[in-house]
Amino acid sequence: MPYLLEYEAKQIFRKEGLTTPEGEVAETPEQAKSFAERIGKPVVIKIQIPAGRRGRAGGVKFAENPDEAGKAARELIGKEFLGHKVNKVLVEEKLDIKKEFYIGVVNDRAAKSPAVLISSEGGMEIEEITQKFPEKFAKINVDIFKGLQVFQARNAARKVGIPTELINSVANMVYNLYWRIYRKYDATFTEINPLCLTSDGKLIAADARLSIDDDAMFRHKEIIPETEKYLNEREKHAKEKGYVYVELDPNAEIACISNGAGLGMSVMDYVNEAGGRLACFMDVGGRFYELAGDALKMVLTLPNLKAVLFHVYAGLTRANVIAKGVCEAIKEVKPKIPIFIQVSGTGEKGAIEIMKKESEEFKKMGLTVEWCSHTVTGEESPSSHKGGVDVIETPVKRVLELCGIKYKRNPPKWLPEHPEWEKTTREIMRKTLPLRPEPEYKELAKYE
Amino acid sequence: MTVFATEKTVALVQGITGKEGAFRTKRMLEYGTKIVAGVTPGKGGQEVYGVPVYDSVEEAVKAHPEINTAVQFVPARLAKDASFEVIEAGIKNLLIIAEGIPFQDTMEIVTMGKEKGVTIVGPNTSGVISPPICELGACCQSAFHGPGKIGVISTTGSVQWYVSRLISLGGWGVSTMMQIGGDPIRGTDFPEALLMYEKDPQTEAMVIIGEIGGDSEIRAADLIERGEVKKPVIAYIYARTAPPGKRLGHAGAIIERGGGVEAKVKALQKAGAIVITYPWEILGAIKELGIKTIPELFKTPIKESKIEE
Repeated sequence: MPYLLEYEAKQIFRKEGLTTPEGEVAETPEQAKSFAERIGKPVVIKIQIPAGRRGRAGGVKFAENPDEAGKAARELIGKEFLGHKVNKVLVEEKLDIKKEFYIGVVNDRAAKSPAVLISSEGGMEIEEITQKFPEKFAKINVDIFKGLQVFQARNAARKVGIPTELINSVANMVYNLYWRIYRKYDATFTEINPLCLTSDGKLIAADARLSIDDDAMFRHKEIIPETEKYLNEREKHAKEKGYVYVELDPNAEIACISNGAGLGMSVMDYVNEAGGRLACFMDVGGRFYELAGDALKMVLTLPNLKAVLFHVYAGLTRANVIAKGVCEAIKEVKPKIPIFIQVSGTGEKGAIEIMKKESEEFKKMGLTVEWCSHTVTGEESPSSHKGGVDVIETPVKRVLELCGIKYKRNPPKWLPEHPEWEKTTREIMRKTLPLRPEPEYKELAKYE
Repeated sequence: MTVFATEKTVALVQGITGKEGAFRTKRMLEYGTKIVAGVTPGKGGQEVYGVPVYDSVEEAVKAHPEINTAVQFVPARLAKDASFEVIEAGIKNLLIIAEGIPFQDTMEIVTMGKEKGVTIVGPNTSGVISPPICELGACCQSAFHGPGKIGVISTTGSVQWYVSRLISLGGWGVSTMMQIGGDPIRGTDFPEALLMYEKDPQTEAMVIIGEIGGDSEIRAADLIERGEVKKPVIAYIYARTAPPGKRLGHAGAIIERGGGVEAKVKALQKAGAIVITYPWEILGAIKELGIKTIPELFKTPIKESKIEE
């Protein structure tokens, strides 16, 4: 989700003819001071981080003169706000604001179409506006083929109480935001908040937020978001290879490489609730099942890693292909930390055969590799664990134990566990599996 | 009867000559899915596992007017064109597998589909399966047994294969599993899917597996609350410890301006749905609904294509 920093978004806005305040981006207090001198008016200094609500976090300061501007920049650059280190500040002319509005275009999941949002109030988050001033807020659901027309924006502007003399200029701004920004740049979200009416009657985009669809970046190769320059080696590598890699806490002890995302997110829940920490969330699913080995090499560069969990329940992907790729990578890399591999789903039988064979190899090599699969009883090899009902939870439990953390279930209060339902599930499995014609289930039944 | 993938399904495979398209065509055929044509522009006249390949959907439909469903194995960047081609050719069911379609493209696809009365499932899905009669896409066939009574609707494959497998082995069987996908814009979302299952006489209860992001699960809860969905619904919603602002694997899985699990769980509970905390609670929850198991299912072998490659 390339989220552009404010100054980057404003560069695009200006290019597309949307008016923004005069300003420049500074990396040092000295630069900030000299920019303020050049602007020659009171300025505002704003931290450039990929997050909203910067003002409330103390990341926006006003300066009457260049010295103050330098001082303000010194207080901001290098500090951390909302979890992001500040590398740059935007130095802009301070606007003489008469009135603030809000305009934005979002992706309306329910309507499956773009939605244009307009309010005659601005400067606070849109959620707050809609709650506090519902009568001053309008939403236009736009037909993606027809696109937004100016009259729709005009009507909405009137409805929310924007003064008559401003209706045309606000509507034009909304129109440009939709066509020249949202549509042209494949935005997932764009917003001008506040859109300022200055005392000399100009409409200026005092802030600019723009987030571009990752999957559409191939149409916008000219844009290289600054946030991507700060990616670490692992994030860069994953981006190059094209797989999902979310670094949650680089200093944490467990890496989870899953297939697919739903399983990975469930693992994240159980680990977090047990008091463990996931260093990263990685989905090798879908397009990338052949890259499992590469993924392993990458996560092993995490500094405090104590275990790696491959948790695979394959559909579109193939468990046997992933098992083969992971085992080859393990033999090549010879990781010093324990690895747990769970492989089920499409290609399961092949995957189990591979794991049986390779676990002997791993043992000879002195590596700690444990494994399981849905139809594994735990007797297949000394390093195998029973699957069945436990095939999702056991890998999580074992990986935590291998890190020295005792596994316990600890779901949120609003979602208590139901041990009686779990008990019933197990009873049913014990009863029904022996009836099955498939030998693997008959065998598994003895262990459920 | 079942949903989307039925005994009446006659399918065309887009991208049939590609590696994945061909492999999955073979698996679908072995499962019993009726596939009468494939399309790869520039490769007309070839055959893939006995299925004739055409240069265009139009040609394929002309030669096989019985086609009513398209399964699309086409790269994300080409999906819009390929989808429009299907819709223009008059095919009324479209399954889009690709992950990574720009979502404004998806908006155009679903808008056009809606105008022309086409049911679209996906994008970013493994597919739809109605055991043992029809598999569309790239499902984990061995996780399913049927004809069954439980409808499964899911954003994800992984955890869902596990849940579906337990339901199948437990003797209730699955009527249809529909993976609606992990994108923010979906051809069929939870509310529409629930209504499809509500009308299906074979389905007695629905299991929905959802995630963070958006409000589809909440809109589903509204349908239940309004009485438009009367059959029992069991839900599992994952990513309850997700950090805000991080996109976790699925393009749609992000907490921004709402979309957290707690609100979804509470809305579903309030509407009368059963929410399970762990996927392994599923059979206990189903049993509590008083739905009877199907004794024949315990004895009949589970169907699966033999090829694993």
